[in-house]
Amino acid sequence: MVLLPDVHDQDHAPFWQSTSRGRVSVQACRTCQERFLPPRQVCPSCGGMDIKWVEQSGRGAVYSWTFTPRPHASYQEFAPLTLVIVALELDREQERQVRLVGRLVPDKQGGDEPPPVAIGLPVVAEFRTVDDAVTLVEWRADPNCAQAQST
Amino acid sequence: MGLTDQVAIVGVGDTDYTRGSGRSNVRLAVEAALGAARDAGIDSSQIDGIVPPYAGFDAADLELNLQLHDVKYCTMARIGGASSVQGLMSAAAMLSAGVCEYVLAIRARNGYSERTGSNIGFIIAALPSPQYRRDFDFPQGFTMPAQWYAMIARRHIDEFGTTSAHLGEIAVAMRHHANLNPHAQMHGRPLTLEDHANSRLITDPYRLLDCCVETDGGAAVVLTTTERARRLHADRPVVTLAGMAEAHPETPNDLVNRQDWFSLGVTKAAPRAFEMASARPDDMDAAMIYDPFTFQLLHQLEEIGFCSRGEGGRFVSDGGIKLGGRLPVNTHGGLMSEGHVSGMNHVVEAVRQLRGECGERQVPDARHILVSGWGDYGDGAIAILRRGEG
Repeated sequence: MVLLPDVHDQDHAPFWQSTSRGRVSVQACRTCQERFLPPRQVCPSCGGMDIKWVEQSGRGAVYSWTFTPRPHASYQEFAPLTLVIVALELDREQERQVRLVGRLVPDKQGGDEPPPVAIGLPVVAEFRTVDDAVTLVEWRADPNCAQAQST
Repeated sequence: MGLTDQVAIVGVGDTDYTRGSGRSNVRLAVEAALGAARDAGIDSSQIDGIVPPYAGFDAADLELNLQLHDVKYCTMARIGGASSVQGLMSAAAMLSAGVCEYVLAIRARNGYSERTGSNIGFIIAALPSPQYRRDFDFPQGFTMPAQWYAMIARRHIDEFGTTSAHLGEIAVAMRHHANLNPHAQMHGRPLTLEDHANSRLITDPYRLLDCCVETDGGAAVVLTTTERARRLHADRPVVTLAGMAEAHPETPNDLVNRQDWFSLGVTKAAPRAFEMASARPDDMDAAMIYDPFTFQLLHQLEEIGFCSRGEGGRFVSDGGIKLGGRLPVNTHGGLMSEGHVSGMNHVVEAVRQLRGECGERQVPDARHILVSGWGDYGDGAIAILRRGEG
């Protein structure tokens, strides 16, 4: 059985509140405005401890990827699985990239074939409602960008 | 520095490496421990310090079975596959502080027959930041070490032109060594570049033959002060810990968000260990590199400083890491082909090489051997072992 997130986890709950609204959010420091993941208590840029979550555009580009024909036995429903690390488009200019890992899903016409993927592929977030509580983020090639950008 | 050459590995022991031992983890551990004590020339009851693994069995199992009546210190290393090498440093600290006289560092696992990797709860509990794993990685199917490390390999391929054929060279070199090692799980099973290229895809770019074996077996070492080791064995070289270091990468619980993408624990640990040993990469006669997958071996060669970042593909080509090459790597066959005993078998092999006990696969006149460990999302540990006179 696929493991689902604990959407009530004290540190992560705001992320899941965002996904249920159809948005991707990242942590942000109220003091210096730096955006970052993975979630933490202390800003990696200024050391501030006043941290919030801020919604982002839900666009990004593939930073790395792997294709797993047969995933772990508990995840057979994902087979064949294409995983991407996505460097998120941020609402702020900063040197630090903020990235999420997730499934790349085929476009509507793609059927069962794994989607074509390459580093730099522009992607957009999609939101898959699993149940009343859980909405997961997945990624799809951005239909508005025909050509891959470099990262 | 304080610990340089102060502590010696005085005994090594291992079990057979198989698919299906028919014995429990505790049984395998006891056999390996008794072998190491015998090789050290002590009675196992003299062991008074233990560095046990974080799964499979514990210190109490050893105290009970080896009849250890007065163990004075136990400390568990827990940085995944780097723990075996990190444990040597813990043992050295215990011994040089005078807390213990003989420390046992040990690993044993029925990695083949128990299939612990099939249990998601078990995997998550053993990883850094389990809540992050549960909420962000595992719901996406990002569950297998092969997938995590494939992500690193993919960018190396794109940036530096590393190829699957380079990775195949590593698999072939490991198997070549295993075929010179009757103890190896894959002894007698030759492997070609073609076999590697034709093996099934596990997770791009990794094929089946880019992955290490799963093993039932145990390996152990006994450490004591160099002074005591010399008294025990005037007749054979003493193998000292010349340099040791542990280090963790940026975002140690998340390789996804690492900004300096290729940096690892060993990137920081290696210079510290070399400085402690007053040695350079060029001084190493061989290296035992933690090799759960082919690319991890190549990656560490670069980050440890045997070649520069991006040069690993060329370094491993044309027999570069085979016996007789520029740097013999994993002369026992490594995790890839000798067996996966959490890298404690790498330590055992380094000691046997430095003593000149390796027969057909002996590195001539080996004086310095570097051993590395890689754990979880890039934690690292390095030990530089040195041969001294008995």
